[in-house]
Amino acid sequence: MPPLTPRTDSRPGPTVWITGMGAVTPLGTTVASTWTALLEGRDGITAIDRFDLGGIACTRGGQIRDWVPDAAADRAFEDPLLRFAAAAAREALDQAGLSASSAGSSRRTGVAFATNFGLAHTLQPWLGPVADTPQAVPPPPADPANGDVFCAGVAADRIAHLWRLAGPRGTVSLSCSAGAAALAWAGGLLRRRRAEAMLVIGADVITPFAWFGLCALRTMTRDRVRPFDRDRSGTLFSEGAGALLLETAAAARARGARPLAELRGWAVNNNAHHLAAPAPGGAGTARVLREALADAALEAAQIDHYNAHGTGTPPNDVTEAEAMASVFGAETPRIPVTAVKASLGHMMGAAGTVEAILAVLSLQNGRIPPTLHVENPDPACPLDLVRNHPRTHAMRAVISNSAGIGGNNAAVVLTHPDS
Amino acid sequence: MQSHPPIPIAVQAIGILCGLGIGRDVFHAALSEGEGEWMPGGGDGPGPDVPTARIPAFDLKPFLNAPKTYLDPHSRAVLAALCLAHQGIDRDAVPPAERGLLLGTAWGNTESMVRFFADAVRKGPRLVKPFLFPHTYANTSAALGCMEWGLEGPHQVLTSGLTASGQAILEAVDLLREGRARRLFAGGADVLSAERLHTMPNLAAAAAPSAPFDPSSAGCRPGEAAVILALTVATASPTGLALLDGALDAADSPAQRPATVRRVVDDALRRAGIAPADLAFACVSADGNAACDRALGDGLAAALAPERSRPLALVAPAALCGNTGGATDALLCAAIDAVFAARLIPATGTTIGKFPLPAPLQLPAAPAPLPEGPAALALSLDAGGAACALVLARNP
Repeated sequence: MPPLTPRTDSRPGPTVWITGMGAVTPLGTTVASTWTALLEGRDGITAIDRFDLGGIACTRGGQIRDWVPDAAADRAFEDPLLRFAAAAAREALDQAGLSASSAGSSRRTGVAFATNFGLAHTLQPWLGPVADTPQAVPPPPADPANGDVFCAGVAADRIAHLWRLAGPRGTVSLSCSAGAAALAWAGGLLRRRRAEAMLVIGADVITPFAWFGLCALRTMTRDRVRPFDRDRSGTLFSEGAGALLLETAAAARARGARPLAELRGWAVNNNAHHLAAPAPGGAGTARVLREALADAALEAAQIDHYNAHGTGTPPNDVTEAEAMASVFGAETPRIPVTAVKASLGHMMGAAGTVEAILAVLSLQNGRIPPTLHVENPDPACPLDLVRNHPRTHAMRAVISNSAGIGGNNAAVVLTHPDS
Repeated sequence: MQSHPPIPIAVQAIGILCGLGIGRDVFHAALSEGEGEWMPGGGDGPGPDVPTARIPAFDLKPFLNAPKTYLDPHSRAVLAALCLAHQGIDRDAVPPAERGLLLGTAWGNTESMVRFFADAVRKGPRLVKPFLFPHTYANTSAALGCMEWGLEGPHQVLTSGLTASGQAILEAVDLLREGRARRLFAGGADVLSAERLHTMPNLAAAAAPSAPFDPSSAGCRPGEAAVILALTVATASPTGLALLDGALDAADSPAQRPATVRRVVDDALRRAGIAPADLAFACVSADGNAACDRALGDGLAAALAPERSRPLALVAPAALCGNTGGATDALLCAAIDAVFAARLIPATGTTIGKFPLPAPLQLPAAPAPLPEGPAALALSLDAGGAACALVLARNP
């Protein structure tokens, strides 16, 4: 395939490479095992049996079971959020050729953490009725070792301290767009030379607080997740983590590292329409896709694959399809689409990072994982959906889209390192 | 090396609510007077015995374009601050897609989180109120702000602890310089709840000493604030304030905090093109957490000392406003605005002069005239090790 147009845009700055990836998902506790399971068409959704569901209708999701981290340091964390995050981060650093001793060496490697519910597992005892209610109980004493558990930023601190990582450190909490938004924030820091490397980790855990709330939103299905299917009836949530190490090309080359892909462009915006419903016609999504393409200095015609947000909820999928049509126009039928939430579930704060990892693997391998459970494609979503079996397809550029409660949208553009 | 051309980022307006009051003028007057008001930790309900600096009760209706049925107290504060940040601004002069909101918060909507789960425990998860759950997300207040004011452009919510609003502000500066927006509202907000007070580390109990930079301080006192800056690429600024640049960093261990502070100050000044001698004063996050305060002071002094012999006056607003969590850096910017406007360094330490600060730092014993210098530094250090430095200047 011919190479992509070199950047000659008005946003100069270092090229941002992805040099390491790691994942803990309902389909596998490494990137490789997750990818293999996806290509084999496996479904990671099972019964939720970690706690008493209290009779709610939402009884299935992507619960990670029978797993403990390999590394003792990761097992030392009690909160599953930190276990997921540490294991994924460790895999990413290992792939990048950075060991525990070298990851936090003299160069500045920051941490960008993405999460919806933070340390909700640790926080659980303080979420009960503490105040003036008949069931009020004295709260347990806080353990200073846990830090300020109501602050989601504590997770990033704990992970950074594990590898002595010194550099910009922040936590993005932008609901289900958080993972992609964290990639955007981290990419920006690198492009502006505010850091040489950033470890981006998205993670979330199925806890009673999260699960009861997500069920109350009435967006979960009792069926399977069927993105863009005429009979779709909702999504299913899951847990886990995805981690990517971003480096400036110069910093990576200096230590002999090679890119897995380039993080070429990104954008984050808000619909300013409704807390839970998408903007009419997918206007906000369309704008964020256009902005990400402009940031990548690419035309819509240069995109070879679209990794959809594809939650399987009736409103999201049709508005996302409308947004695609608006942005890609006549190119839309040419661009294969996949929606991996059918296999993995919706991984909340981890979704954007895990889906970016899968987009990188698609670029590297020339294969697109299938969208499961689509038996009757919705005519209102006229897309080239990769269904049932993986598709072999040469790719230079992929765009991955996310959206979240609060009306936020985030999109990232990834390109093949040889392009 | 400067990563962007030196395009000035003007602060068009500042919306502020904090323990000192509501509104820029009220904040200016109260900061100059140097008197804070402290309430018992529980507010109207049970809570731990710590003094807190709370936003005064207020009627939200005048701040809203449309009525709301339910709002978390955090959302109330954000919407009010965003309204104040729109004062004097022609909202429709910039299309919706070219104006956005970036917000920092350490704790988000904790009251709604607790209410929702208490509901689930009391009634069972099948009977919880669905409308409450979206209000538990840390980004909901920002989302409501976008809806209220038609902010469809760049958007971000950072929950990074004390440096969250500084990260949001710096991201906004960069996005404006890159031409991704024409107007951005950036800042931070945090409010208190009894449950959060039970879990906050390093709090000073009611009778215990708490003062910035005091080595005998038993901890900090918590506060509330919502502070939002209206930013635009412009040479003229109604506030007379401009953002030049900043820097972010984080320590990999407590021992590295001073070196991290030094590095972030060096980086920020270099990017802003400001020499240490050009600083008129600095507003810092020191709040009575003795270990952090010491690291902050040592790091700042190390960054300045070789090139600056004359004293640098410090302002520590936490002495009056408490530890304001994710709103801290934005509140430090508002304090810089106040100091430049009044041409006065307020006294913000209750143990002033009773312990030495490393040279050239000074915490004035009484209000003092504004020293010479075109710029000021806003500097924060989170207990987890993240640091943020922002350089502001009087608009030329």
